[in-house]
This record gives sequence, structure tokens and C-alpha cells, in this order.
Amino acid sequence: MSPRIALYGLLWRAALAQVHPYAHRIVLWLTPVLSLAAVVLAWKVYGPATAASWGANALCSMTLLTWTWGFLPGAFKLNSPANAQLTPGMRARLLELAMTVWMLCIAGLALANAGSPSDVVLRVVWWMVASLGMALAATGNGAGSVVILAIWPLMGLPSVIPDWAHAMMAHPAFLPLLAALLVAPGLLTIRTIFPRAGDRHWRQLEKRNVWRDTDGLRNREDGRFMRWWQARSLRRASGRRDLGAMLLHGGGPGLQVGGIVLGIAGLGLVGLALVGLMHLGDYSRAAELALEMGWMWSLLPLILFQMHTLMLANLTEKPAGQSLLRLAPAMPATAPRFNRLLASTLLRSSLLAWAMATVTALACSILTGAGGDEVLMVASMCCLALPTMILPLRNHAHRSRYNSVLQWLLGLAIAGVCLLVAVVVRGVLALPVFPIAAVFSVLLVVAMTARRYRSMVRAPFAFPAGRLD
Amino acid sequence: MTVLPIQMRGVARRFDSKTVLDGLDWEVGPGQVIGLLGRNGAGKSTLMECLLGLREIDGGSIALFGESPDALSDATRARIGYVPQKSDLFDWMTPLQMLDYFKALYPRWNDAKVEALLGRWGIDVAMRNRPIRRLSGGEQQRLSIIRALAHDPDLLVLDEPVSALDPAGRRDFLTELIDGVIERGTTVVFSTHILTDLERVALDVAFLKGGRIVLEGDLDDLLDGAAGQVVNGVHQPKSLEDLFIEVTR
Repeated sequence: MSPRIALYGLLWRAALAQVHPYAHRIVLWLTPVLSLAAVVLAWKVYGPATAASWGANALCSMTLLTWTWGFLPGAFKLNSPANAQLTPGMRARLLELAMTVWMLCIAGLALANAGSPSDVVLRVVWWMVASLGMALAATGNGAGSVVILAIWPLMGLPSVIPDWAHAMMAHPAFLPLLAALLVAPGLLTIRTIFPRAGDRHWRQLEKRNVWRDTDGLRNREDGRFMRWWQARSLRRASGRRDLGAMLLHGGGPGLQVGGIVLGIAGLGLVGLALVGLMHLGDYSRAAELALEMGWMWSLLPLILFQMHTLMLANLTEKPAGQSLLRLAPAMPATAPRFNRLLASTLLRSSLLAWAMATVTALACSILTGAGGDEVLMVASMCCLALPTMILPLRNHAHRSRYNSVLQWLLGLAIAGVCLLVAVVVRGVLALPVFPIAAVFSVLLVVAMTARRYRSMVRAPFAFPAGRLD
Repeated sequence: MTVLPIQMRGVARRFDSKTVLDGLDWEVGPGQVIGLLGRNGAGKSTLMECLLGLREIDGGSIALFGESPDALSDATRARIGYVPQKSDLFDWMTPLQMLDYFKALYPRWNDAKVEALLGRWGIDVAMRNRPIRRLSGGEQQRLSIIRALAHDPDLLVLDEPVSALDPAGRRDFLTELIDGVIERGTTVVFSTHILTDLERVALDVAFLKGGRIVLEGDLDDLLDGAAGQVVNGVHQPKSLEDLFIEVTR
């Protein structure tokens, strides 16, 4: 193997290791396995041609996702100002590697979807812009979030493009020309992601961003409005000596329920604005899409709810400050009293976030014109998302044995068990699966919440969190 | 009978197979100013955390003003000030928000002292409204010390409080410690590796080694007692640095 390729391999592994020690191994095994699974499934259902397309799509998409959310954030860390400036060739090799992988993935996706020529052009352009937007977002550049938000509605673009434009795009020279043109902004984006020391580099490092940090939601630098909101909320909690709210304010950043409630409300407003735009613009295809997929989109607030509960379940980020809370005279002095206060606060916070997410999801699905069945489905999904609420009720003196992803999977597994039970019930009583699963989920959550609440109260002092490891 | 601010009997603490505190006995009297010395990893921070009840102990007993750290009364907690080793505390708040937050948690709070210290230690109006994470390490540490002093504690526990401060900042801190804290009769326990600071402030020193306090006493007496070389027939006291190396080796 040439030394240059070996170096690329080393940098790829080192960048992924910044994100997770086993990330490279996981990707190395998971990508071919999932691609192969896609091939086998498509072969059985559609035949060999579709199987090849599905396989290539799966392979390239997973590599592109790894590139965006694994390699780039890790490489961004590797390219510290000192390394960028003083380590010979490191920045150049990272640039080359990032560009090569990006172009290969885009080319692979274009080849895998070579059906209608004009559709391929639109898809390739969309992938190129979306992947660059995600790349910027994943490395903490604010422009990335704007690109991501702007690019989603353009998925419905084919329906509004006139026929003459489709004909032009079908020309064989169009795609290579357009792709070549997009390589330039691609290179510019990658160069922005890997600056060469200097003030701009330091400024980029100082920015905390929701997408970049491992624990980005907790460490993000809020905007002016959120800072004002947090300051107001903190002042109110301190003024009223609301110990529960003060615990969340002092336990770590981003734990207060106000922020997540505002986020969910914001998501609801964006949904409302999109529906309004569709009606005003009379985009028939987009309106159809909203009718078909709107109820799924309306479930997005549930993801915010789950992220909130996962943050509450992992209070170990700022343990040094937590020790001062424990010594503060206003806080409960004994472990059971302190833990009870914390458990009640966490439970209230999770429930409020869930209620807000549920109301928003139902409102969005009704506004997009969803029928009774779809609304019932959304309500059921809201109940099936509820099991993550039990995660914050645990012994915080110990670190969780599972990381956030595994905890989230645990919540999903509980929902899965409820679905399985509902499938069995349907077999016996012929009742609908999702509503029955939702009822099981709620009953299970009530029982588990009571049990975990009691065990949290009996546990050692929760603060400083994670000290007993 | 006067209640001792700190009383530790046979305190043990292990991390997995490593014994950090091994049957440690220690008493600190009212108004005592004691410097805790030990090599890196000797367990100074663990000792301080255990004595405040921030870490569980595997054996022995601890009393803070006669109370168990597991269930300190509100009144006793109001008498304790603590500066942890990490100074990046509450870095998502601004200094003013953080100070207001703690003011709400303490029954007495010396606003005049806080204002004076903020002014004297160079935390200007612009800095007070900036998130703490954007302050330098030294500024964060100063803020952490101000927070610990704000409620006029009777027992001050400082875990390497000056590690991030520049010489001017250290001098300001030591001046405040001598004039504003020690003269009030406050009991002070602090760990540091900057021995010259210790010599300026501490009347007593305690050496932690092998999980126990192996040597403790008045600083001058210890230095005199450990006289090393003889010059012109007179025993010369060792420096604290020599004593540190000799005791902790």
C-alpha cells in the first residue's frame, strides 16, 4: 500500500476515534452488513437491477453519513490550530481525504440512481448541497443549520420545475458540467471547515454548536433570545427560591424545561409556516406530500422530548458545580430529601416536555390535513415515545452504564415490546395494534416510573453526579 | 467545650484497588490556618471532598462542627465555604447570574464584600455580564473564590485555589485571605503546590502521604526541627521545599 493511502487510512481512523473509540470498527462492519442486507432484500422483492441500486445507495449513503457526522467533526478536532500550522502536511491531507470521500460518495449515489436523467440531476444537486450543509453544521458553522433548514423543502422541487428545464437537465453533458461547477463550492466549504490557524480558526473553536459537540445540546452557545429567556427564568427561580428549578439551572446547562418547550413550540410554528406557504403558493405536489407525510413530520417534536430526557438522564457533565449545590444551606440536607426533590423535578420536566411535544405533534398533523386514522397513529406514537421518560429516574451518583444512544435504544426497545404485545393481542382479540401498544406503553411507564422514583429516592446523594465510579 | 471545625477518625477511601485514604486521623481547630501538602495523586482533593461529604468514605468517621457530613444542618452548611479545584463552575451563567443564584441559596450574603472583591480583582461590568465560560482561567478562579467568601464562612476549604492565578492575582488573593478571612478567625484548610504562598499564609502545615497525615505542625517549628546543614556552628532551617521532598518522598 502506498504511504499516501496508508496515511489517509490513519487520518480516517484517527478522526473517527475522536467521536467514539470504536466508531471506525462499527462503521467498518455495519456499512457492508447493512448494504448487503439491502441487496438481499431488494433482490428478493424487485430483482437484481434494483438490488445493485439499493446496495450502492446504502453503501454510499452510509459512507456519506459517516463522513458528515463522524469523520468531519473528528477531523475538525485533529486540525487544531497547532496541528494545522505546525504538523507538516496534515491539513492538506485532511482536505484531500475529505474532498475525495465526498466526491466518491456523490458519484456513487448518482450512478446508483441513474433512472430518469433529470431526476438524477436534481438528486445529485440536492445531495451535494445537503451534504455540504450538514458538513458545515457538523463542524460548528452556523451557515450549516441555515442550509439544512433551507434544503428540506426543496425535496418537493421536481413538482414545480417546468418541462423545458427537465429537458435541459436530461442532456448528457448537463450533469457532469453541473457537478464540476459544484466541486468549487465544495472545496471552498471543506477549506472553511479546516482553517489554517489564525484568528478565524480560534473563533471557530470558541463557538459551541448544537451539532458539533459530543454533548452539543448541553454545551451550546445559545442565541440572544435564549440567553434572555434563560436569564429571566434563572432570575425568577432565584427570586422565588424555587429549589427544583434552581437545581436544574445549577445542575448543568440546557437542563431547564423552558428551552426545550420553546424549541418544540418553534418547530410547531415552522410546521405552521410551511403549511401556510403551501396553501398560499398552491404547490399541488407539495400539498399532496404534506398530506401523505405531514403526520410523520409532526412527530419531530417527540425527538426533542427524547433528547431532553436523555440530557436529564445524564447529569454528570458538570459535577464540580453540583458539589456546591449540595453544600448550599437552602438545598435538602439528606440524601433521600435531596433525591426526592431532584426526582420530582426531573419527572415534572420530562412530563411537561412530553405534553408539549404531544400537543404540537397532534396540532401539526391535524393542520396538515391528516385524517382520523393518522391522528390516532400520531397519538399512539406519542404514547410509544413516553418510555424514555423513565430514564432520568436513576441513581445519578453512578455514571450510567449505557451511553445516550444505548439509553435511547432502551426506550425504543420498551416501545418495541409494547408493539409486540399489541400484535399478540390483535391476534387474539382483533384489536388495532398501535392504540393497544400505546395503552400498554402508558401502563408500563406508570409502573416503571413509580418503581424507579422510589429507587432513586433510596439511592446515594445524587450530586455530584457520577462520583461513585 | 468548643466544637472542632474538622474531626476525622480512621477515614478510609479506596478507588478500586487503590487506597487513597488509609485510616486517616486529623483534627483542625477553630481559627487554624493549615496548608495541606502532598505529591500529585496523594489524595488531597479526595480528602477535602470526603471531609465535606462530597464523597462517600469506606471507613471511619468525620465530623464538621460536630455534625456528620451526610446530614449537615442548614446552619452548619452556611458556615462552610469551598473552592473546588476546577474553576469552570456554572460556566453557562454570567458572573452576576451565578452570584445572584448563590445569594438565593444562602441565608446571609455579604453584598458589599462581593462588590468590593469584584472591583478589586478586576472583574469589571463588561465581564460580569459575559458567560463565565468566556472568562480566562484566572478570572474564573477569582470568581470562584469570591463566591466562596461571599457568605463569610467560618470554615474555608480551598483546593488549589491559586493554580490558575498570575503572581498579581495570587498576591491579591493572599492579601484578602490574610486581611479579610484569617483575621476574622476563620478556619482555613487549603492545598497548594506553590510553597512560597503557603509560607506567607499558613501557620500550620500537614503532609499527606500514603493515605495518612504523616507530619503536621507549626510551619516554623517544623522547619526549625528539620534543620539540615550546620553553618558556623548554627543549625540552618531547611526550606519548605526541602522538607516537602524529604517528607513526601
